[in-house]
Amino acid sequence: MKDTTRSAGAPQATPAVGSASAPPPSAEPAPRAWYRRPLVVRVVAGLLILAIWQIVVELWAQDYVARPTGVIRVIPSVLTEKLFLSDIVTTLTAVVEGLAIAVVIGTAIGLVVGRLPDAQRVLGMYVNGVYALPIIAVVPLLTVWFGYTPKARLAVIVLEATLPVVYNVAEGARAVPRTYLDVTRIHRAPWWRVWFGVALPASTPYVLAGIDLAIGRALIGAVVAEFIAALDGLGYYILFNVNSFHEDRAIVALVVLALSAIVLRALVNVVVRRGFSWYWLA
Amino acid sequence: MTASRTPKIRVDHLGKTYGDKEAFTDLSFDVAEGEIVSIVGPSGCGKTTLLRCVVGLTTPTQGSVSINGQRVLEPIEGVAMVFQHFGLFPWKTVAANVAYGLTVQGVSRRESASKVAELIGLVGLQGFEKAYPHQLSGGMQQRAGLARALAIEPTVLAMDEPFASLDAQTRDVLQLEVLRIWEARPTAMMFVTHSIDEAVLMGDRVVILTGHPSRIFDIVDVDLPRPRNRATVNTDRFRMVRDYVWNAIMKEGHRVVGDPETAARPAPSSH
Amino acid sequence: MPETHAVDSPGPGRAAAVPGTRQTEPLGSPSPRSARFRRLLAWHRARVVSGYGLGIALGIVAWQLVGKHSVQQIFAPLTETLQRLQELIEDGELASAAANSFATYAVGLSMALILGAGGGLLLARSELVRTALEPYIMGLYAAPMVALIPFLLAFLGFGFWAKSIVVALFAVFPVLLNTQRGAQSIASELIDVARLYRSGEKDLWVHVIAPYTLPFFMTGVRQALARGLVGMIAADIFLSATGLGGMLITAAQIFDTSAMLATVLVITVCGVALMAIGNAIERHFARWKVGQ
Repeated sequence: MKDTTRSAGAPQATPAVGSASAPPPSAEPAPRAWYRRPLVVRVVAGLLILAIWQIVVELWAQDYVARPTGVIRVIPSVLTEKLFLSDIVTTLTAVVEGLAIAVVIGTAIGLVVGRLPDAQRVLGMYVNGVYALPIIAVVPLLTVWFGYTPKARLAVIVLEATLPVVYNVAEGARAVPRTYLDVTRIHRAPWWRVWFGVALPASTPYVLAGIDLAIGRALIGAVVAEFIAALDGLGYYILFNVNSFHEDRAIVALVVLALSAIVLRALVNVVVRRGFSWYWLA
Repeated sequence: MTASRTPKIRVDHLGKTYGDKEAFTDLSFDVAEGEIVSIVGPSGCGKTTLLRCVVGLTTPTQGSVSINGQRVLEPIEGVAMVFQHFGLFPWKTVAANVAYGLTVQGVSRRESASKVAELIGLVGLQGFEKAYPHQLSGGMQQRAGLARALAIEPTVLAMDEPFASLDAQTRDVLQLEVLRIWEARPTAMMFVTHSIDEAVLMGDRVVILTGHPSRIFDIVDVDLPRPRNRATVNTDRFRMVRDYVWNAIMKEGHRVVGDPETAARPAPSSH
Repeated sequence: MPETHAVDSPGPGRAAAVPGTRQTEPLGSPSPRSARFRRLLAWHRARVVSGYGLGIALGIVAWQLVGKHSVQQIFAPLTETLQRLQELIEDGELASAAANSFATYAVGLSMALILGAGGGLLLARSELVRTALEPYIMGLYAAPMVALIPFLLAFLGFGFWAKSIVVALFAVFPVLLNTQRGAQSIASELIDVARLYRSGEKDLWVHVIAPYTLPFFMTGVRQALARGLVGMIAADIFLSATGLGGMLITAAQIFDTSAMLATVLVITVCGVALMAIGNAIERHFARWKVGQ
């Protein structure tokens, strides 16, 4: 334990008195040991994890349980499978569509709730309620209303994604710096100029934070909807393949799913940096 | 002298209380047309609140403010303000910010273009029309803020510690810049600051706020010739006024009889 | 509104902040003894109360109206829902389902708290482990947990322990990440002070690291309470159709909308209660949170 404390992160322990500290000035700095290089450590750890996974599954689990060798073997066939590719498109299109709707609705509600304390008192309890409720509990109901159709999935996505947008936009609308509001009041700007010309642009960082969170939740919503309603898509691909003892294929789909979240978030970031350069430096 | 003309701004027994805390009370003074009145006092004396009451951003709890004889209860036409933290919208270019007042009034971009260009030139920001505030230094942002204020051709200018967020050298430069620009078209101005030197340098008269709750200790005639420059701060008259104000604030308005440090009230000079 | 919007991630600093109604401009008011002040205050209070009241009233009216005007299979009015709820309580179905669900919740959450705290502390104290595992943990965190459920079902079956593990999986990450963040952010000065007094490793942990990390851990607990609930319902629905989630599924299959709505109502109440508990816990321990 003593050893690890010396190499601990933020709490940099001061070396004990008397121990050798800095090397003599004339000597060359020692080459960094392999366990100090982050990349090496990570790769080694990753390989270790894969090895453990492989061994555990080989020894104790059924044939169909996923294992690294199996996954690698099926990657080419999965990535070229037409059904898989169309499933990716289906799910991601639904996610993007749902996100767009969620951003619009969420921003509108967020602005209203953020700028009008009265609206916040009336609507706040419902927003909080929906936030506290696992959306997954509403999905059966939504399938009753929309049937086992893509509309149900869209509804779930919109529901999941709107919430973080509402919260963040409301926060932003409430937190408009007073000086900006003073400027609008001195110039006697009408309410719509204040909301759309000032409160909304000032909340842009918050909107973007909300979108970032909404992306993750939208993907979750899509998967949940596909599970319950058996809709074609990336989530259902996973379910189907697990149930038909093709877990290796399902893992590939899972990885693609996780990557989609990262890619979508990165895309949003890029767009933000281009279109809203002032946001990063304001 | 100025008493015979209708004051541009009349502050009448103004008081402001928050809950059970009284910020200031019984403030009365006038600002004449073409006059700069500095308001100075220790931190927390409510001078910014006073300014906000004058421009209508805050409602006083006692007394009243009138501009051009019209009672001020909320912002009215012809009143412009320059803010301590500049208040430029980061998502708008400098030109768009300067034009904001005109945009709100419904003036089209084409019509306001020439005026905006003129003002940007006046404050020395040529070439930065398309820049964004984050690309500008503090001093430049405040110049833009000033241009925005002047764009609506105000009859009253309110300055809320406009240079407090700037470094000392920029402050010195901008003080004289503002005076130079003001000279071209003298507008009634209320200048709030916590810097005594600045108050005396900028103003025709200095309103001294002291005490808890704040009251007007005195209103001093600065009586220094215009246009003012860096040499003005070395004149005897400047030092006399400044010392008086300094003592007033430091001793919180308690004039101690026989105390040689307490400066005598400077009489209006022969200028 | 709760302080953080993200159950999932702390997010950028700006996204987690101040809640509630905040006056943008203080009420202009004369001395408190005056009638005007009291009148203004009373009027403001009335406005607040009527705001909340209107919200509740609107909800009740809307529910009732929509229910009355739709087919039984689509929506049920509030009165019917409450009736059905009473039935479910009386015949014990609700109680047994809730007990079933929350048993897995409790077990799963406990596992998550222990694993999360332990893991977080380990990651904070050992730079080697942290560097090695960080990308994989973040990758796992980024993956939608729900998508892992089919694998878990295939691997663990659908018994009590399988469900508890699902709950634990949903709940562990906020605990882990928050604990790690807390333990890592201990200013080195505090550690140095402890060392100056010749504290042994154990003392260091007990007197410095644990108390300092505790408020962060509690933030993780708050988030874990909510995520654990999601895991609980997900486990109910996907693993063995028992418990509260199971009630939802069975009701959906026979189009018993009033039962479905009643269950959703119960789950919402649970969710709100857990959120309140979580907030209270976090706030209590945030009293001695250093810095931030």
